Amino acid sequence: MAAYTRPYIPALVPYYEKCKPFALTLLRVGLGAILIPHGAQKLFGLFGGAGISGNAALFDRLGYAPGMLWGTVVGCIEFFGGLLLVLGLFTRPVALALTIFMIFGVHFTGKSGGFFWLNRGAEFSILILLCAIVFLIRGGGEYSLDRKLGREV
Amino acid sequence: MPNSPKLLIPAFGRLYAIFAPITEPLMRLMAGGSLAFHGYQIVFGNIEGAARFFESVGFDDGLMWAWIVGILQFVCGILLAIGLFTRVAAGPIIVFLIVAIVTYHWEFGYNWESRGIEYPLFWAIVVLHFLVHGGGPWSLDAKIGREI
Repeated sequence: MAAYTRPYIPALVPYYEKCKPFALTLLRVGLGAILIPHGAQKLFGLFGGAGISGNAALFDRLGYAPGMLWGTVVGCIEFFGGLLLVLGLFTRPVALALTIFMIFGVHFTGKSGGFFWLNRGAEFSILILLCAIVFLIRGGGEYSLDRKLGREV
Repeated sequence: MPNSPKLLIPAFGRLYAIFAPITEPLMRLMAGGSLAFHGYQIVFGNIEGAARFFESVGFDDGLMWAWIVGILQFVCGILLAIGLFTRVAAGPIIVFLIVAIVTYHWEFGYNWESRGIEYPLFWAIVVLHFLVHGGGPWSLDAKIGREI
């Protein structure tokens, strides 16, 4: 990357350069990894989750009818999408699905909890939404299967 | 970008290139701005309440910690959001988030809805990105032309 700033401490620059390929990868893996347990709660009832039918009932109650459809779609985006993000496979399509889902997520958490996350507000959803947009625009990047395959949408 | 994959729909490549510089400022604004909002609530809002909270979770002299945490959140949050001294701001934020995870959120488990470690952990990963990359092309650091 072209240098757009002159460093105050040039001796640190080699360390930055060494770390750079890992930072965005860590973000992609972290984003995916954080979604997987939520999907597993919804689809399989793991980690104290409601499972597929309980989750469908919840989505029905929240007004996303039919809950079986939307609850399962969200569960699949979280679980399988999270897995694909960790691997960096089909990164942009997954990120697009996640972006659309999180727009609803931000709307929902904002309506019920305001902004602050300690009141179950929207700020976490907004951060996830923005990170999804990052990978929608940038694709899988370093250490992704997309790059390994050499093809990407 | 060198050795990036071949695009199945090459026309999208131009769109990606146009929007690529926007992605980092978006994350920075949210990760930093949101933290500054928390700090604002402590410093300019209910400092006594924050002090009582810190004492209740085992930080003696809660008022001092409320000031330290509030100012750290507010100042470093704003600096990160605008991309000024980005790396200098990112370091303390990561330290703060790790301390928050270890001393408070850990006992609530993983789920963010119940104040678990999920959100502060992810937050720290986002800020770590800026500790490594610096402010990026759309930051005050870049405008000034110098950074740590």
